[in-house]
Amino acid sequence: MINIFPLSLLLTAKGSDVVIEVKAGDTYDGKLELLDKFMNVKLTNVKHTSKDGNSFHGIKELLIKGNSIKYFRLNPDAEKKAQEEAEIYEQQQQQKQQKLNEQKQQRKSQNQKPRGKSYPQKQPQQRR
Amino acid sequence: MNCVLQNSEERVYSLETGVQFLNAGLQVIRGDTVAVLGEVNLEKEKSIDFDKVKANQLPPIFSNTH
Repeated sequence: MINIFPLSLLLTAKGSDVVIEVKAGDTYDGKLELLDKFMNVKLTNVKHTSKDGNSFHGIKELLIKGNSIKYFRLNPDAEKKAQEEAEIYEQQQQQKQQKLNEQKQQRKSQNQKPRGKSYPQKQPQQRR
Repeated sequence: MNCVLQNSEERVYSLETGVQFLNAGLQVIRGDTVAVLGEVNLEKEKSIDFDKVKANQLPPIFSNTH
């Protein structure tokens, strides 16, 4: 089990349907298209529900400033997907580390060998 | 303090009926709306009969428009 950070979980939820409730209490249900580090979000095919749940709107495209978001509701599949991607990432990191270690060892063994050609040292000229 | 909650549920308290549980599933909560984060004592929770609990809703801990 690998820990997943909230924003990376959101990144893996890109392209799937999410529900966002904003601080004002309204909810927006749509496909998550874009997301940045400030949690600004672009949704498409949005259904907007007012705070009291009485009025509904359909919106084609919508940008929500991350600042105004209260929470996301995600498809439970997003968690599995994020978990898998995190595992793949971890494996890649381990492989990189192994390669680095091998390179280091190679360099070490090269350094231990005597140099191929040693240059003759200049003799200090004797002054008469 | 952004949070990820798995298999989460929302509890709605009211004076007329017992506590209602709403299934909220997987959630990402933005940190600036979080006031308190703590561990739940599961043994204590089991001893509570939530059908009989009648309570007012919690007042907002901070305003939505700050």
